Amino acid sequence: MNMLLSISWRNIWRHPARSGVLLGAIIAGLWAGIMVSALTNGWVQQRFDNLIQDELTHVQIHHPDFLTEREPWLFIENADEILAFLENDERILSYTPRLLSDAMIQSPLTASGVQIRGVDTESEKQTTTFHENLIEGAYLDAGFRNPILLGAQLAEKLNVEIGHRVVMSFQNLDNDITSGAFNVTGIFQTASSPYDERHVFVRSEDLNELIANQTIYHEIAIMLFDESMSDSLTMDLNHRFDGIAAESWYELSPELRYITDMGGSMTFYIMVIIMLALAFGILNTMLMAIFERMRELGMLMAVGMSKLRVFLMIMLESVILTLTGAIAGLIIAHLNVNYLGKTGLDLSGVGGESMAEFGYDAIVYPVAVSNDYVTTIVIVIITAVLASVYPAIKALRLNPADVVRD
Amino acid sequence: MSIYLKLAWRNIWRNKRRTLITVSSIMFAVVFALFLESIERGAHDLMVENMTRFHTGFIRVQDFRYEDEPSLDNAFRYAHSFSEAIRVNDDQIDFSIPRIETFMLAAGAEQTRGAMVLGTDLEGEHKLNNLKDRLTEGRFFESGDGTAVMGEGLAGRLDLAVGDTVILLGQGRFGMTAAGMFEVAGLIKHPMRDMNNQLVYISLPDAQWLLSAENHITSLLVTPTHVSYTDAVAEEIRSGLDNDELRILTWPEMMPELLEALKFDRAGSRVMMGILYVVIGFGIFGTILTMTMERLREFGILLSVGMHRLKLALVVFIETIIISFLGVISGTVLGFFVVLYFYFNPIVLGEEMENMLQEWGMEAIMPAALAPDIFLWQGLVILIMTTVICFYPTIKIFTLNILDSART
Repeated sequence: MNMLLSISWRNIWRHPARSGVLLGAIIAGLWAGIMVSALTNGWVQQRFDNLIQDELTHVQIHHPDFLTEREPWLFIENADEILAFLENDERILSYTPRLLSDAMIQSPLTASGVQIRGVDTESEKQTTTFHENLIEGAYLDAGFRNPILLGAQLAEKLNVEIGHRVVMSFQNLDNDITSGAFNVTGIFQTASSPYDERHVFVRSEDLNELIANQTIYHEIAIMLFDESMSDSLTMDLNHRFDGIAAESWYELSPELRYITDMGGSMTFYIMVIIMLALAFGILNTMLMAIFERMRELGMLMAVGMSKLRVFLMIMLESVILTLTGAIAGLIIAHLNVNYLGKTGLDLSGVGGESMAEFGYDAIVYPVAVSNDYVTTIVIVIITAVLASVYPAIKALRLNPADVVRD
Repeated sequence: MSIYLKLAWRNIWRNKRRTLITVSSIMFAVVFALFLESIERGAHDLMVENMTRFHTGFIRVQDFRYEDEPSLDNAFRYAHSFSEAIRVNDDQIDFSIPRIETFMLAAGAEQTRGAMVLGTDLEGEHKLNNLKDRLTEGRFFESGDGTAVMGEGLAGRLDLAVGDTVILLGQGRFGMTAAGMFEVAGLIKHPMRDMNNQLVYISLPDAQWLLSAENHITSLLVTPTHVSYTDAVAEEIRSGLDNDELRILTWPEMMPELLEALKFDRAGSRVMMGILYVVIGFGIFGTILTMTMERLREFGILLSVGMHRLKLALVVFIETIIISFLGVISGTVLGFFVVLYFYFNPIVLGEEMENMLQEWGMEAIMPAALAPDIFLWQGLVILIMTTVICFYPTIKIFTLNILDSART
């Protein structure tokens, strides 16, 4: 065995160019596999963050019927207790309570249906990044009376500008229609124009005054330190408090789940294709390398080396090459991912630039998960070793007399 | 010249196994590149088609003022002759749907809610977005029978069931008061919670009567027979209409965010494509390099018996070019069948996706696109890549040391 090992080792270095090509193919494959998964992770993650941080957050609490009925009296009754619990929970990064209502918004020109989001300016700013969508004017905490933020699309539809006044009519707790006048102080624009057309933002205290004579909240939005804890938190909350429903982001937004899952399936198929391409690349190179060595192998057999040993020698060579390539590829890919993880991969060169105006960066930061490393390494090693089995078997069938004569 | 060709041709078939391996490495490179691009394009086309049908429709004809002020005052006159007029050349137009869209208050016995009222042609809507399949209770209205179909969410909030009466209240054309009582004929479940809580469908004649908008509609949705005809059809309608107060909008104008999202995805797939090129490039380079080394002895002997380096390089270059062409052509043929298979037998996404997408009226599949330009471009890219790689043996011949190579 020792002898075989040293023969294999020498064989590898006797043909540096050939070994180099094999190494190159394996390194490229490993690098490609890790890059593809890291890029897609980064991609999906970034979209996810964009959508989550804007408004949705990781976990939301409502009255169990609020999301379907949307009635003002379906508020969270034990909000104080829940807020106190959230304050002391270590999993929670930040949280914000909201007051929601459906309304008819009117300008001198026309009327439209909207959802009012009454937010607590201070905690909302800490929890979500929505205030970054403001493209004109000032946020709700600028000190105006009854301020309201409109989406660009809606402002255009209503034909109002900053400083104008709009009137909103909605139901109060007693089921009567009540109205209030609000001053437009800011215009926002998100990535989705239908959203901009249907949502307005006011201060929860202003809206509260018109809807109820006590402080009420319909929604508590929670950001966690780690997304994976959303399930355990919703379970705890639902268990501990009656009369509420805590839901995680994927229950609240099936669309987001669609994007995340679709991204996952897409990567899977891209990975499969790239891995197949890699396998064929390695197989072809291995085949070529073995056929080139037929004469040499025939000679070895002619001088008395057993077929089993020839087979073992070839397999040993491929294992050594594959492992070396895998380690080198892993280091290169890891450095590459780390580097790009800091600087980001700018997509504007390949047509991503137009996203910038919607607040998405055209830069993707790859994120490699240890799972991806493991999967890729396993696939590459298996492919490379399997790819060398066929040529090695082929070598066993050689007739030394024929080969040496070539 | 012909002697070089002949030499190259013979060299190729002298070692069939070697040629076969090289051709197959190029062939598989082409197949993988084709497959990746076709899958990616197919998924995007399907997404555009689904989103367009679900949200805005492909082409919309409306008054030029309506976009800025979506009020009934900016409806336009629509008669049957109008529909005929835009169908001058109807090979590319599938069907069109006249719609009146407005925001009103809907009231039950005690509750009142804002509602989005859609006066429309039921058959057309069904063809566009499978509306009839969303019915959960009751039946759909007949044209002009004074009944309404509403979202389950809205009905629940107004405490209305099939057979009850809903009151619609709002503003008609030019400030006319619009108020009407409609029997709830059926309920639908709209997959978007917002829409489910807001939608009321009535027939177009009912809506025109209710809103004092006889013979008027707010928009006409035109559906081409294929997404790719959108621009051509829009242009045709534009030139066919003599009414310059009408605007023709296409889906990229109506849903710019979808177009942007697609561009973003495209940019990402191009990076993936680049990574695939690196992998297949290495595969091809590996075989060509090994082939070159295998033949160094042969080259050395040829050179030492007096063959010009230039002539030898030419022969080898012709050989590799022929091999490249063989690889690309066979790859395109094989790739065509692979893509064809996945075009007719799309990849089915998991059960979880299926459950989710069913509600949206979409299929959880990922079909391959069958587009000639994909074949042309991918074939060309791989051919160029292979040609560049094929310079390696040529360069090697020019720098070969005869004595060293004869000794190996």
